[in-house]
Formats: sequence, structure tokens, C-alpha cells
Amino acid sequence: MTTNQTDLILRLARRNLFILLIGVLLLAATLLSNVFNPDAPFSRWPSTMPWLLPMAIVIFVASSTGRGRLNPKAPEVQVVLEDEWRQVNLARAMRIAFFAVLIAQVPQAFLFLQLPVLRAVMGMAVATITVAMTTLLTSFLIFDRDVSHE
Amino acid sequence: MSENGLKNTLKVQRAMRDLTQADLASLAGVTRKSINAIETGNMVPSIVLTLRIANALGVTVETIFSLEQGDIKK
Repeated sequence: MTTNQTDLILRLARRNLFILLIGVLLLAATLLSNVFNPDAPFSRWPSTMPWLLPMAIVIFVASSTGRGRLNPKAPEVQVVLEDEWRQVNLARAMRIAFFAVLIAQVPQAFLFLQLPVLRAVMGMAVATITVAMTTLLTSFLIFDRDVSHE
Repeated sequence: MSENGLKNTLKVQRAMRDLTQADLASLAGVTRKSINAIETGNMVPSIVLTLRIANALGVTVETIFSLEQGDIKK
């Protein structure tokens, strides 16, 4: 096991989390736009690009089964997965996300109050998942940033 | 003084052996960020990790880690 490999995996993991965060925000924005105004151009952009979802699935499958994929049993991957600092940061991020979700419920309820019941429920669900995911990912990325000084 | 009541001489011990954070991380089986977090007092390591670090440096746990004066109950 080399530390360079471990550092590389850490950098890759951070990059993937950034991509996931952007994906979650984009998806949530589209769904929320759909809840508030289904006829808005932003709500309908996925239907103008029907090739997007199959392509995303193909890219995901290719990247997770291709030659460049990480072996979860490799020692350097195990080091990253079992790293205490990452686990501490994940636990802190999960705690913050939990409280963020709890606090967000009241403003969310007011936000979706004027909508029909079905759309309000959909909006609440999307908003809650978005708050949880974005808070979790953002706080983990903040806690886990490199502040080393030897 | 660290916020968690644990002080350590990890940086000194590491420097005495001319090891970088990355070297020690590799020996202890953790990432460099963990070693940095322990050195800066941002993380209290588990007993297992404490023993692994002590083993890697060839010293006892007490040589590296000790309680802050105010945290020692008489």
C-alpha cells in the first residue's frame, strides 16, 4: 500500500461527491420546479433530452465495471473506507443533516401550503431529501477538506 | 491546549524519526488526514488506532498521548 494511492483515492472520492452533489441539486431543482410550475421550461428539460438517462446509466455501468474501477478489497481502498477521520466526519455530517431536516420541516410546510395535496406531498418529499442530501454531502466535504500542514 | 482534553507529542515523535505524516499514515494503516487530525488535536483516536500508531513509532501509548492537567482526576 502506498500513501500516494490512498491520496489519489481520497481525491477521487471527493470529486465523485462533488459530482453527486451537483447531480442531486440539478435533479431536486427540476423536481421542485415541476411541483410549483409543471409548464415551466426548466421543468420539462429532461423530456427534451430523452437520451440523457440511458446515457447516464451506460456511463455509470461502464465506470463501475470497467478496467479503471477500484477494487473494494484492495488494501489502499480498505484504508480509505475504514479511516477513522472520515468516519468521524461522516458521523458529524449525518448529525448536522438530521437536525437540518428537522428544522427545515416547518418552513417547508409553509412553502407548500398553497399547493394541492398531492403536489404538496411530492414537494415536501423532494425538499426533505434534498435538504438531507445536500447538507450531508456539503458538511462532509467541508469537514473532510485537506488542512494539513506538516 | 486541545479542546478534547488529550494532548499528544505525535509531531515531535514523528520528527525525531524523520517520518512524514504520509509515512506514519502508511505504517499505521490510516490516511494522512487522520494523522494530521490527531496531531492538530481535532480528533481523539480510538484505542486500536492509538496502539497502531504507538507500534509504528516503537514507543508506548503514554509516550505519545497524555491527559491535559485539568482532566486528571485525583
